[in-house]
Amino acid sequence: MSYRLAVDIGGTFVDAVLFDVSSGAWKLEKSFTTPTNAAAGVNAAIKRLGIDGSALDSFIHGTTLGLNTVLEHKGVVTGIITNAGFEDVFEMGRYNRDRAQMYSLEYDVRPPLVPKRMRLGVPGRLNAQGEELQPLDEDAVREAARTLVEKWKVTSIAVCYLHAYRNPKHEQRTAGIIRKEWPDVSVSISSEIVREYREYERTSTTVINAYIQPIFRRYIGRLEGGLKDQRFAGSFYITRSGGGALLAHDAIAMPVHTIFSGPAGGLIGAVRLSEIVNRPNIIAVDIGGTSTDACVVREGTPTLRYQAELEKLPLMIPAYNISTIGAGGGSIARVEGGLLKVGPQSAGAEPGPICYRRGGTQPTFTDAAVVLGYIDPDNFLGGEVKLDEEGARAGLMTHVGEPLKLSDIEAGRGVLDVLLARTVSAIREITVEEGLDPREFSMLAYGGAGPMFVPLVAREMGVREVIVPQAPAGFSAWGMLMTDLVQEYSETAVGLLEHVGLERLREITKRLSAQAAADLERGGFAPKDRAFEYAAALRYFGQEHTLETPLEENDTLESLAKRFDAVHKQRYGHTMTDPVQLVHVRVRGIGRTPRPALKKIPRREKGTLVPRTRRKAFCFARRAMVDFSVYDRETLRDGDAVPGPAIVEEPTTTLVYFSDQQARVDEYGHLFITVKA
Amino acid sequence: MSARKATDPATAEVIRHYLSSAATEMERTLVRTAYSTIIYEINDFGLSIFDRNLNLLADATGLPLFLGANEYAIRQVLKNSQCGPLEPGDVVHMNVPYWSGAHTNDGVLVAPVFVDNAIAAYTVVRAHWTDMGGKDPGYILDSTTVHQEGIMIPGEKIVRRGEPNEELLRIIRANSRAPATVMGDFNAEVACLRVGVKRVNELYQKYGTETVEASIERILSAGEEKARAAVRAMPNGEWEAEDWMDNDGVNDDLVRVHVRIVIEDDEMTVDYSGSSQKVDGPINLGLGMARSAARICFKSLTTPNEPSNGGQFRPLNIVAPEGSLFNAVYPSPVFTIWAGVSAVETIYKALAKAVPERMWAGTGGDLGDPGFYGKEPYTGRQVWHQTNAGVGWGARIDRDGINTTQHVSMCTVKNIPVEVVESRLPVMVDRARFRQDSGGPGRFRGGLGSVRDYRFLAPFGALTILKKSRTPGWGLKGGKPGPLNLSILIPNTERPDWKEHFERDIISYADNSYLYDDKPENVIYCGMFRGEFGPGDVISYLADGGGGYGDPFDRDVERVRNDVIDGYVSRTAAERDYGVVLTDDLEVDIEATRKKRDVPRATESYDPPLRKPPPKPKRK
Repeated sequence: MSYRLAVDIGGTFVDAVLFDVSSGAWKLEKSFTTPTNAAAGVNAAIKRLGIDGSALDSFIHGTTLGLNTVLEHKGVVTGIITNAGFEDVFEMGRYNRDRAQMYSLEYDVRPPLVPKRMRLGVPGRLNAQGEELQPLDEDAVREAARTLVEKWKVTSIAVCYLHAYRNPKHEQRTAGIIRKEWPDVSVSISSEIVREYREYERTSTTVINAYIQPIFRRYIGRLEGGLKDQRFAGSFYITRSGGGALLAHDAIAMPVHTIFSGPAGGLIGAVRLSEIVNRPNIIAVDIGGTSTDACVVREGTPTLRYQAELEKLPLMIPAYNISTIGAGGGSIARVEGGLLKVGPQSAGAEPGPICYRRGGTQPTFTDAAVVLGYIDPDNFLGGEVKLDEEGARAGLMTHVGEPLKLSDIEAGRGVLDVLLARTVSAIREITVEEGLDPREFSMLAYGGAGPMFVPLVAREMGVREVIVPQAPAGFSAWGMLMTDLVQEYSETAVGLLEHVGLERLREITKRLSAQAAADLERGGFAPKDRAFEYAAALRYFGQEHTLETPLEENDTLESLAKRFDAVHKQRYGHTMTDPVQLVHVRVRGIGRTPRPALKKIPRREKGTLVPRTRRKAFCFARRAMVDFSVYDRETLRDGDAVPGPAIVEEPTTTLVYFSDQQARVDEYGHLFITVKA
Repeated sequence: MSARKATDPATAEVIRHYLSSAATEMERTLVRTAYSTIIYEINDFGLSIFDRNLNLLADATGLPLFLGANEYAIRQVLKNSQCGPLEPGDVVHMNVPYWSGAHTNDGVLVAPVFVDNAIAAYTVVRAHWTDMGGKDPGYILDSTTVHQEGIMIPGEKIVRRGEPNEELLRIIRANSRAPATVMGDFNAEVACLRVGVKRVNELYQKYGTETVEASIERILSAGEEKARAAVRAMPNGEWEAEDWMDNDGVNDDLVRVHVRIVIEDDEMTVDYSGSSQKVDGPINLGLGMARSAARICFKSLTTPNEPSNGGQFRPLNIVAPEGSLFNAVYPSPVFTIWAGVSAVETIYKALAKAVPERMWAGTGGDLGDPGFYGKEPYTGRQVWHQTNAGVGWGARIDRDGINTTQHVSMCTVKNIPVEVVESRLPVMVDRARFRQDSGGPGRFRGGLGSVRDYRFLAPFGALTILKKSRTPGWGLKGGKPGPLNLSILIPNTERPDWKEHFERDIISYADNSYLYDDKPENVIYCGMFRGEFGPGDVISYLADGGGGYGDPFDRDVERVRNDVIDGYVSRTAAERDYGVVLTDDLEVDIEATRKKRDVPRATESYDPPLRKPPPKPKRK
């Protein structure tokens, strides 16, 4: 018996998906996030699955912990040690204004994440070749660290020296000194996180890493402890921001690579689903308790971002181009200056929406959904939690209805209208504003609140079809099960191809492959499950930016240069006669994992689908309370047609669509919601 | 009305964003394939998409000062070029400064978009080419006629039906000191135009010309209406401001920049007539760029957060008499383009009188870090690496100015990272940080300017284009300006012939020692300079900060104290400029502070008297 377990942790819920490798079966467990001890929530979710830890081969995890820490400015007090004379690099940035603000007379002077007083410089200097021009002043390092730790009470230090991408010795030595004297202080060094030049971007990436590292390490440690208690002895992975997964042990040192790992799982799932249902162009919309994440999948590939950015700070990591807003089931509704605002503050799991009876007093999207009749108070999480409908109504009236002189239904509708406008604008950013017409896409609805809201969004944007996957609330976790282990190895070797020579090129490739193979071995991947991809980052002599060019086993220098010409020509329409220059050799080691197959559902042999019941709910098409047919999702059969207005319930989520919409069920139980003809 | 029928607001909105994203894709292509740091790091380029009637549909301006400059240029190309009718796959090159609004190195490339055998649109790109054969490498600071500024191409087909025009390219290569780099950047620009042509063509194919043009009409009139409404919301009236450039590079006299703003209902006029007449040196500006400068300021008050389109500028009138500083005519020298920087600063200064609650105080005045020219050791090629200093921006009615950001006229430009400078040039950077006490004092403090020290490891050329180092910026409502911009040239005195070397190899165009009583010996304090530096020589550039807003003695004491703890402000300056006395432990001495601050407050800022350079014989 062997199992894989994927756990996705959001701001409100923990979703755990257990996959039986031999039978292909899988099941989902959902529980509340425990904000004070997130790891306990994960461990509780595992316990509820009733699986013995020793039966698990691997455990894959995605988390928004790092991201939320930065967004909420809740990271640790962080200091910077850098070269003397360069203390302000982190605050000065590249001197440029954000393009979106280039003509604006407004500006927002936000205090830097690391205040000037906590950025200290020390003597010691390398040149661009990585040669030492001035030795590191170790006493100065100790003194700087002492000031940071003792005077300014920092608990994490980012170390970034000029040209450390060429020679990490000064950074490594600095880390050694700090760790020896202050073992409890976290140290992040730039050369371990990014091996690329540009000091500001590298510093910023390192600072974000430092800012979240102690929190992340504590979290992973607790999780590991919990797993150990449950006799888990398999491999522990964390999903990466731009696809694939890392071993947890590697992620601890560089959590910045996992900063967008939460939404990444859902996108891997979206890609798999797009193959299964043959829809290459999808707008994936994940609405959880706290946030909404949207990403475009084009021709079966999620779009990547040029350079990731968080809170205006550049991150030198690959990441999917995800548009995120603070809008979800827990988003709090309130009146400010006579206007109704919803989110970005979320009630999260604690205190949660009023109707959860966990102490929440402010009305949320979920409370509005209860008032509007979408959620059955007696059937939430499969009837396990009885929702407080009257409390939700009273809270909504006190905070929204009465101040704005609206009825309870009008107030609930208003909450959804405001969220709708915000969500539509977030999706426009990655579609219309990128020149893509959302009307040509299918929209994939997942996350606990996705199915309840995405059909409304789709209606508003003229999207032709909404796909609701199986167990949408656990879709991100399901996607993580598809994740391959991806480890990237690179070595910088700048020189014209003819100067580097074939022999050296092969030698580097060989060395990196051996390293990759060893790490895959360590991760428990049999040779047949290992794959390697080789690439050379090349450019014409005189250019700055490189193009990744595949490197093949029996390449010669000529064949490689020719392929680069072809790639350049295809991408930019021209080639140059300048010689081709090598910058990096890259090897990607991939450990392939078995993929869960989708179970088919039976066709309806006889009879027709009958609603379980009917209830009054608000229809956005008629803008009135009308009778909705209510179905249990498990009673749906392949080929069923389900006209709106309808509510389709399953234990972890509720699907709502309106009188001008209809749904069709396919052989896997996916629902396709379209506009009625 | 019939045109409107062909579209709907949703389609028009999709088309508007489609065009903007086509421009963005052109930009990415250019940046990813370019050879010069001035393109891929500094963003010294502007690209635009026009419809067949030359309405600006979308742009991706690398820097604000290029806003709308292509619109003037493409009109001049279509009016003046004698290259014959355009065909699919053609690219026209034009770099006549009076038509382009720039200098010979900023050529304008135009590619037509054909739909059903007729021109439906144009894509246009301008980007800085490293060298077009002017009298000096890098930048030309003291030409007296355009014929010293490089080869001029009056709108010729540099690509014919998709094939490069080898004759013309051979002529350009033969005239350039950096032929390989210029060819690399030329190809990058052609690649970028091709992407634009393809995307725009797809758009017309997909929606049909009628729908696209109806959408364009909607987009332009929406832009116009929005801009007019914004002008209408401003007070009617007339306001003036003046500013000074250090000199013209040939004669050592301050040069006057003057702007008069007139707002009348829903129209605004920017009138440069009070500025200097044309000058002998290369700070004259083509009308195209004078218009751009006015457009930046206009846009920031009317439609700052929207992608640009031609409709937004219909309510703006620009007056600049032919033959004056801001409307250069043949054969006036025009290379530096720096009057554009000064124009933006001066227009804002006038607008601050009209709407002080919406404006910031002065923004450092210039962007003077050195640029480097010479044979790059790494590639063996002639290069021009410009670096631009970050200045402090002015404070506003309710907040401090931003620290170390490019001048407002070029605010999207990036610096060249220290690691890139040191990888490519025989130069080490010894310091790159804030300039302490450079923020103009005020109730809200101006932002801080930057400092960078460059030390040469081997002989190499360097210069600045700095044109404002002698006259201060401006504060608002009792706020004060920062210190001046300053270049400090420090010779390696261990070299026995250092004196001769500096005298022979370095030209200082604006000697500023008359402004500094505390200048150390053996160093040069100046504005603009150029020269061949040697090992051990150091250039230190200190950028000005932004102006303050409100009387500095009204600044919150705790904020002043925090500024001192962080080092934005020195303890001395805290006492002198803010009247805040701190103890050795950086605690506030409440009594001493109260006494210091017990003086009347200023409600208006004033321009200090001009300090003109001492007269000296003409250099040439």
